[in-house]
Amino acid sequence: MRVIIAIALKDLKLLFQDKSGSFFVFGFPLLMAVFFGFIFAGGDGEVNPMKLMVADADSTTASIEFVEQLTKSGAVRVVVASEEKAMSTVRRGKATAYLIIPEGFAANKMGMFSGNPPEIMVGIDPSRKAEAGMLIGMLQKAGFAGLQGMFGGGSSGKSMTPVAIDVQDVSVNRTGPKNAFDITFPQSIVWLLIGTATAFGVSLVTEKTRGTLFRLQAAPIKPGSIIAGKALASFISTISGAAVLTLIFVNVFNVTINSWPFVALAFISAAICTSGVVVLIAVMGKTEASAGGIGWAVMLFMAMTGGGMVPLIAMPSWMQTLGSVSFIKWAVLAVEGGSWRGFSLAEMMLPCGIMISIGVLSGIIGTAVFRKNYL
Amino acid sequence: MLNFKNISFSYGSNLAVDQLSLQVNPGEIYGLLGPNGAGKSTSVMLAIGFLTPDNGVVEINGQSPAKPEVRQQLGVAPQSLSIYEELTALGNLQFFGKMYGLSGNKLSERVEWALEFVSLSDRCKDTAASFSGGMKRRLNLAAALLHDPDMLLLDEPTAGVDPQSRNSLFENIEELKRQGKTIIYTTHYMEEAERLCDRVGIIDKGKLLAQGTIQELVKEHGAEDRVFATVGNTEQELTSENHIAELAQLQSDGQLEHFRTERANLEQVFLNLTGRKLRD
Repeated sequence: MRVIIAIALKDLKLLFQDKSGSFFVFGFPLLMAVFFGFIFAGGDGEVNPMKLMVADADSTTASIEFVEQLTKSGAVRVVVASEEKAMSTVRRGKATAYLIIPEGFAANKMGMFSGNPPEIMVGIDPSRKAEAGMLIGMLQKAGFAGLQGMFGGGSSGKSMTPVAIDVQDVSVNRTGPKNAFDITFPQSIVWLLIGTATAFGVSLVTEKTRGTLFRLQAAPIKPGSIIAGKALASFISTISGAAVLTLIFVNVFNVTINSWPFVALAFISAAICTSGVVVLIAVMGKTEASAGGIGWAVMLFMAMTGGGMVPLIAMPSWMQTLGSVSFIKWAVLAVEGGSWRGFSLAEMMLPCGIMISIGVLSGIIGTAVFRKNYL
Repeated sequence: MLNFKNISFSYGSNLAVDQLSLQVNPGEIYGLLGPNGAGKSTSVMLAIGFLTPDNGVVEINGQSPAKPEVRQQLGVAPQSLSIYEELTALGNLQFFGKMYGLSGNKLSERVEWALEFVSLSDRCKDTAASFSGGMKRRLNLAAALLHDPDMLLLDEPTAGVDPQSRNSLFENIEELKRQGKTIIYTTHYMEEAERLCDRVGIIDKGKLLAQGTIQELVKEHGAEDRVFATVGNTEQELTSENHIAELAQLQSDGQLEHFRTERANLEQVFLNLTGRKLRD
């Protein structure tokens, strides 16, 4: 273990000696998250269909028509579910919003003229702040469309409220994001993972081309120690980088941390995952250039498909499905789960378990390739 | 004792070492000479167990060099500088010392000794990147000595260094011999082998062409000593069997301006054995 720690500390020292390398691991993630935090805080706008979970307890012609009006806009993709399922899906970040049409919706429809319109309940994922206004507008529009149907054409009801929308706090049982930095904070962790994986992924090939790997292999140490040392360096780098970013985001940008233990669990899982991926990337390249290229290609693909760059909601459904293979998606979800989504331990287990599994599997494959190619 | 028994090794279809057998005795400096691509570095890698021979057996004191306890007794200074340029000399040696199980006071003592031995104590806190080629070579050697190994494998340790650093390295190696270390020294510089080595093996295309002391090799494979006389501003080699008589005759004729002798040396042996064709 002493040898593994010595190799890890040496690799970290080499990283810190390389100013540009350490900037991409630690500085760049902070800059990206702060930059996009300010952008998100200042504007919104979403053009792709948002996934809307609909629980129609009324199940009348009026309620069905109301939902149909929503789908006509093309801006939402309706998924019918039970009330409980609809709420939990949004809470887990798998849909933008839920709409609950309570029993009596149709019966109360005429109440709009007496200032007592039918009530619907809406819950919107706080991380989809940009889409919230658009959804409320669409709901009102669908309500007016219902009026037009009743009166067979034009309406002067613009001053009336067709439906009373009770916008529920999705984070009823949790804190919820206070600002845009709550959303960009996980993005900073994504960039930290990318920077770490690429920085340490290339280090084995660097050792090989510089001849230091030969000296290590000539030493009376287990070959696996070399790989384990690099994985440990990556782990320490990820954890320490995540800790520093968290301190900055919490203290400077008022980022919400709902559960420190869960955030720590997310970081540890992400660090294990990244360490495994580092081992795999490290043994794939034959030159520093190829290892670096492979590292960036793999990590950028993971980031893009996992929603690390473009929000998942803006992607076609097949890409959203594809995103499930990306550990970045699970890293973002886990960090959000611990910070503002208010996940339960059971809910944390899925993203964290997937990340740990990917890390362990990548590490095993990488070590096997190392033994085959280097020994 | 290092023992190569009928070793063969190929990189794919390229035969790098071909049925090589040699023995290096405790306390001697054994020079492995050969042109570029002769198989010297591959032999070193086989000797430390970094490569596994396709055929034959490599043994160090009767054991495989792949065993950690055997490697603990080996020090290697590879041909390519195997140091971390971003780290200080001190940082490099502390790290490599830990790879050989050193720690605490023992590590500090050995690092201090190694820095002193290669005359880098005053630059120990400078990064290796700021060192000259000679200083890097000395640091490369120091890293091989930290754990006080019984046997050293020095693969072209003076490549690309200035005469001062080369001389310093020679003195280091001579001191290591006085300490009783067994040294395998690869080079293609004949004067280095002549100065340092007790025995020499000449290798080419993976085959051991000859081995022995320098005197033995010169006697067996070198040309005769040659004598050149300058007569009327023209230098000519004396070809008779009795050089002294021929010189005396030229002197008495008043033709001899001066003469010089050229002793048979290792370089002649080397060229006789490996040929004069350029190697790239």
